[in-house]
Amino acid sequence: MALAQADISAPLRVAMADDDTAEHMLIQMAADQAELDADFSFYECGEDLLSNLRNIAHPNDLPQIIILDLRMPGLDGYATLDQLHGDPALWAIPVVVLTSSAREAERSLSLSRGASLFQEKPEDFSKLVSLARGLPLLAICWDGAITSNR
Amino acid sequence: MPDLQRDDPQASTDETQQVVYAISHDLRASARHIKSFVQLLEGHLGEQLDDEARDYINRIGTAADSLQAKLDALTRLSRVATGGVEPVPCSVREALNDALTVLGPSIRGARVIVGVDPMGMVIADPGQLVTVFVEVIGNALKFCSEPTQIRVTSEADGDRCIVRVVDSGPGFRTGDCNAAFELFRRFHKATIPGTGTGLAIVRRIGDRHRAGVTIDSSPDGGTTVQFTLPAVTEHTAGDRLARLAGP
Repeated sequence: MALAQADISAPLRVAMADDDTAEHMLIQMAADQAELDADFSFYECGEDLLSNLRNIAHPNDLPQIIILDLRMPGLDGYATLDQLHGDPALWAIPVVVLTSSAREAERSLSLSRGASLFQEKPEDFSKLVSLARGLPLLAICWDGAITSNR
Repeated sequence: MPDLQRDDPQASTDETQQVVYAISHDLRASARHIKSFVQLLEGHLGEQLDDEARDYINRIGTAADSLQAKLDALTRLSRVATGGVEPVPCSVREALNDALTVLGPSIRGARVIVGVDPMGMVIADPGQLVTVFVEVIGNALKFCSEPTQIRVTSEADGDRCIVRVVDSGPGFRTGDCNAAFELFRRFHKATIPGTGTGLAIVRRIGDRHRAGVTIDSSPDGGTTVQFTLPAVTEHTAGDRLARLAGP
């Protein structure tokens, strides 16, 4: 299968699904403060995320990272993880679950359903900036791991 | 048709805990947004802010911090019922030692006198017994400006064990000491950090154990917190063994 290639010179393609649009704005501002060169696409539910990703014709246009909230109306984070994991075109995209819950059960459930990283939404904005700064590294490491396992 | 939900106090309590958790979880996101956008606003306006505007922004940030701390407290309180384990035989002395380890550096300067039977065993949720000691001793340490003395004792009373934590601190002035167990109730000025949650958690844990937690304090100084737990005696240990052996 063809995979999105990590190209460190191009803007990082990030898709985020969160029903709270304030979260979209905060991650965008955090990326700006981290001076992260990134193109964000925002969705308010799992269905919108999946239907948009499935309409992307070329793998190199797919997001390199998906940021996913757990509690969303309609298809929630877990169901979205299942759909991503079961889709041959989408399974290899690393997913960061970014949620306001810090419960261990939710962490293990997210990781067991294919999330690459589980992160509680930081209460301090500067920590969100640090998270944004780490996104390219996650994309590159994940891409390398997938490629070497093929 | 009987209302099953209402007839089952445990189901009703569990439902309440879930509601409290959901509320504190959702409200925490709002508090986080207030704090983050105020930080962004401050960064955006920068030098344009005069002292008055900066003061308003600081007050919004402080209020958001306070809201977050109270929501954390609510979450902790809701977890007393959902996060506990079944009471088992455990050592009062070990629970106290664990609590003193948790309190660590904040204990420096205070004198903790331990008069707890090293062999004394009670039936309790071990983690929650540690929490009770952490909250009660932590409170005593927090409100004493001078080097304080805290005495922790246990006393056998038939098949019960009475535990007391007595401090030499300033005490508090109130007509009703039980008000100290109310959530977010504070008797001291805002300069002393805290949300007024520790004793509410102690009371909730006490209720779960039917430990009859009481607090007694006088404005002249000194506060005593007391609770009573079932002791593990030869008699109760025999009963447990018999139950384990089956009919």
